[in-house]
Amino acid sequence: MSDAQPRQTPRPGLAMPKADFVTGVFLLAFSITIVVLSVQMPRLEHRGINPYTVPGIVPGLLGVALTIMSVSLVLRSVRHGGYRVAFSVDQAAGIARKPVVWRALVTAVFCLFYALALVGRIWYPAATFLFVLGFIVLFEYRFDRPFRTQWGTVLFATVEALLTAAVVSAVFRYLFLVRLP
Amino acid sequence: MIDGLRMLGIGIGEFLTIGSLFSVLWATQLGIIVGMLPGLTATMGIALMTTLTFRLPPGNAVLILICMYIGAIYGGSRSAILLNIPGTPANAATALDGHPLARQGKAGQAIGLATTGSFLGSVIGMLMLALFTPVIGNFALNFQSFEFFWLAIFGVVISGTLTAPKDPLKGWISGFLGLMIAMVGMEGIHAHVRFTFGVVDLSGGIRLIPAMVGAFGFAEVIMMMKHVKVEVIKSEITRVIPRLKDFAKYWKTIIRSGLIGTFVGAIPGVGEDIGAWVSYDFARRSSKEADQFGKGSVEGLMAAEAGNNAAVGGAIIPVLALAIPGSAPAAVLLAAMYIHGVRPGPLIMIENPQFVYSVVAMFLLATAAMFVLGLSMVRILVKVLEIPRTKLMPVVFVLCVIGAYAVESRYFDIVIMAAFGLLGYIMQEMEYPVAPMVLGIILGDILDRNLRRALVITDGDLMPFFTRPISLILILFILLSLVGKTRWFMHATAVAKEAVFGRFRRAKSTQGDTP
Repeated sequence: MSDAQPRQTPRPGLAMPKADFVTGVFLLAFSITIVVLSVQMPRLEHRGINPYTVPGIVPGLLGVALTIMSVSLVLRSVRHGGYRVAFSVDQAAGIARKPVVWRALVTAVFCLFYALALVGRIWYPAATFLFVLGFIVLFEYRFDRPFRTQWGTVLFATVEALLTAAVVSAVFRYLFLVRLP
Repeated sequence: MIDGLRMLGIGIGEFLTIGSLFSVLWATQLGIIVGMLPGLTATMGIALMTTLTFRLPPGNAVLILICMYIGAIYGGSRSAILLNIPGTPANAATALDGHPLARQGKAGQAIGLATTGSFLGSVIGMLMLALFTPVIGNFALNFQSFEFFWLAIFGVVISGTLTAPKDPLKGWISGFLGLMIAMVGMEGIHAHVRFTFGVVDLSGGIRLIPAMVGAFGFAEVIMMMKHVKVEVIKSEITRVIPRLKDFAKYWKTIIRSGLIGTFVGAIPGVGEDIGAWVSYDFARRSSKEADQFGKGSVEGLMAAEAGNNAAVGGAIIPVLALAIPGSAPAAVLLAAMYIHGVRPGPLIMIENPQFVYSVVAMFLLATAAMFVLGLSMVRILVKVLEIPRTKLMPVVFVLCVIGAYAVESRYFDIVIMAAFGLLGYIMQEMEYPVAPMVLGIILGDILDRNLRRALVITDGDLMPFFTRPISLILILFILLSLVGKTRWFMHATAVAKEAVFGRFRRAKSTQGDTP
């Protein structure tokens, strides 16, 4: 095959062979674990149950099906060079610097902080106020500009956070009679 | 037939109260707004609304959810037309012709056409819902464990194939992952607790509402925040009321799209987006103005909108008749029905036939409200599209958290929501469709119970799984879904087609040549 020949374009759906390889390996490990756990699951012989109704039978079969699909995914990604996965600190830093990645990461972390660390630990309306205020300020406030040019952003965020915390808390507490977390 | 009409009349009468009509109006309007806002999908809207209506009587709660569903699927057309971003995935095909029309300064006309297309599609979906739910429900009474087992497999396989057309393998993995997730918790035959690893909160299994709020809500919040702001087309919205000649000209397309949308919507786990795409594709192939498609075709716009709204009716058919959702929003609707003590499934036509016709009546009211609201307040509602996502998304996430928590007042459900949010986001990034996973979570229990029951009935003999007529048909469909897109199958089909039709063609041309 000469160099001048155009390279074969990847088939649709194989646009990310490396990512497919990594997820395939993960899914393979997961599905094998499922099969092992299903086999080890109690057969409940002491209860005299019908052997075809043992609790592990369906998860075991699903584990086998997932194993077959994971192997297909791995083999397919290997055929397309997906196994050439390389990791370097520079590469990771480069990815992390992309605004798209940064924004997604900040959103996920901040939301998880609210859901898992604030809610249930501090008073619900206060947690909600802090979250909404923090979220808007985090994405709208430009820290390289003076406050006097952006006080409107902070004021709007404060009002929105107050309203959200008050309305959501009141509606769920008094209208739907939910004991707030 | 007469009984059906009588029950439909009772159903309509049931909701002709000021309170119910007010609910229809606000829920449909809210649905339109939710659908309009990119990032707020119909599934998320219905899931959040389920958490807001769980204290209401069942009839009112389901009415509000159906209004939200129909409103949201229609509302997504606004952002598709004005932003070129479908408000819900169901409106992706709408953007192809709706946005070019807006760019040509015909945004008002496009909105009017989309509204009327949605209305007519919805009417067709509603008629199909009324006609076919009893038929399918009665037919499903013949189903035994064998058929339900194959139906569960068919559901995840066809859903995987159609929601991941580029790479069905990922769709199937997603579906089987959902079936696997459903295995967590206490199983239904011996009450044995599986895969909980000592976590007591997992004993009851993964609850569908928190999982869906996470997978469709939290995941969407992250997705939306990734991107920067988009601009609304500053096209002046003039005439919104559509012209009759457009409908007289394209009535065949509208009816065809409605029927196709309903059929696609009724396929388990496939949904309104595929309904719209298939309708759009059929309209393009049979159009005399195919070259206009993608450049602002009125026919294309109406086909897409009739298709997606008809799919709503289609998606509710298997919910009522088989307790299997036709789409992701329908899955939430099914979960909401369970929360309210309604048990859809094959027995519904025996135990509670009135409920089926009440749903048709709800559909009728929601469709009428969508049409009226869709053609009014257009200019005011466009302002909603200008709300920055940085201000909207934190409020959405607050509702995701409290919504996941509220149904059972369990903090653990917030953890489930967060976990499924991250899982849903990663799946979207890796191009795995989320809908088959959700369908798998619902079908997992059906699969588990029916496979084991069937094995007990046959004492371990597998033959009845393959010899019963309905099972055979389902197996055939599963095999077609699995191999239908492989190159060798397509090649074999092409060869077979040529062998059959080629002979006729050749014979015809020989006859034509003969003087």
